[in-house]
Amino acid sequence: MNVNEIDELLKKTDDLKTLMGLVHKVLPFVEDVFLFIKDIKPLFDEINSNINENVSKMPDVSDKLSKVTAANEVATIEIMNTIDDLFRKSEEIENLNSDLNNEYGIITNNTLQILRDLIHSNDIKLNERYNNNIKSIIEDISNFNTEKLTKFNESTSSLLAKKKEDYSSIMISLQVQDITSQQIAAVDYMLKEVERRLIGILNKFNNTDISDIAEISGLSNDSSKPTNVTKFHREIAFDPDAVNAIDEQKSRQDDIDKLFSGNGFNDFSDEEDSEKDTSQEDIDALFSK
Amino acid sequence: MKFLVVDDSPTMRRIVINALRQYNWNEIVEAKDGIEALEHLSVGKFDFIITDWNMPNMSGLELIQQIRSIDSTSHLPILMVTTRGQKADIIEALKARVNNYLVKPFTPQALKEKIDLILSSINKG
Repeated sequence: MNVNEIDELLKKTDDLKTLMGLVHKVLPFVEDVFLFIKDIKPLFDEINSNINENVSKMPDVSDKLSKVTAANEVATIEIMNTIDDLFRKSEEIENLNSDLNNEYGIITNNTLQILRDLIHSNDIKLNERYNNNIKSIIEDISNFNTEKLTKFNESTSSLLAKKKEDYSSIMISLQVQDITSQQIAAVDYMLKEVERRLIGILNKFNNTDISDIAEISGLSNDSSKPTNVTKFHREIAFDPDAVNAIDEQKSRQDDIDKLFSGNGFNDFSDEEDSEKDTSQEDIDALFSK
Repeated sequence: MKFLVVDDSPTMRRIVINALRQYNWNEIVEAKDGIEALEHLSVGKFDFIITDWNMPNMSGLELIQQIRSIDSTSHLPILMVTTRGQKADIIEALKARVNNYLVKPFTPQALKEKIDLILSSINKG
């Protein structure tokens, strides 16, 4: 070993000494990192397991939303059938009442005519008592026709008309079924989006084969479908803002009042306002331009 | 007058049809989306179309664009009945040349007024 080699050996020994010193300093930190990883691993496992559990539950939630919407739709149609039936029966009552009145009118007119002929007849002379009785009967029938029967007919017609208005109002209120089904569809759509993202996270955590989960949840990479459609018992296209249709009825009425007080529709082309909801009166003003 | 009522919701179709019948408009055909509506239009003659906007397969807006692009149907009066009430939506519907626009929920009277309005403007024009 020559002098140069000894110098080289000494230099490397110094380097090693420096490195050992550095390792000595870093070692506690590395130990901390190892301890941290050891501690955090169960947490990651738990998060992983939670995401897995939640993702597996989501198709069930979606299925329940679908069943609720289907049941709601069936119930609404049954209510509509009942209302249609009530409407028809009201019309039947109206027709029967009208027929009855016509027949009653003919019979009473004939009867009155006969009774009047009888008391004015020159061929038959009735005694005073009979004559008065017949006059009294004529008066009773005439009074019944003009007072009680007319009142009864007016009341019946008014009640039946009111009933028909009520049925019509119920029918109109049932529009809420369409609006709520759109709201539920929007929630389902959001749930599926959350599910899709969770599956993405899950896939990053481990190499789980997610195709099974995606298949169960009905998710696919098919991007050709329109965005605002969700698959329930039937495909439901939804307006994400459908909720406003009910909630903003009052503000819509306010718009109507504003229009009637002279403040109509202004600057429809304002881009900043394009996200704002429009009242029916705004729409009317626009279409009348 | 023969109506074509287009809506994916069976309850909404029923409500619109009932409202029309209330005013003695009894000749009505229904379709559940734009595609079914175009099929009806290709084989039958209609006088008035009432359509929803949000529908699967083909939306009401796409349906209007299709109707306006076909010679035999381009003149047909169209009323859009929908929950969509944002200004941007209305502008889009106008660009597609819809004749009028009614937001849900509506009353039969409001529906009749819109139909009458469209018919009278067509008769004037």
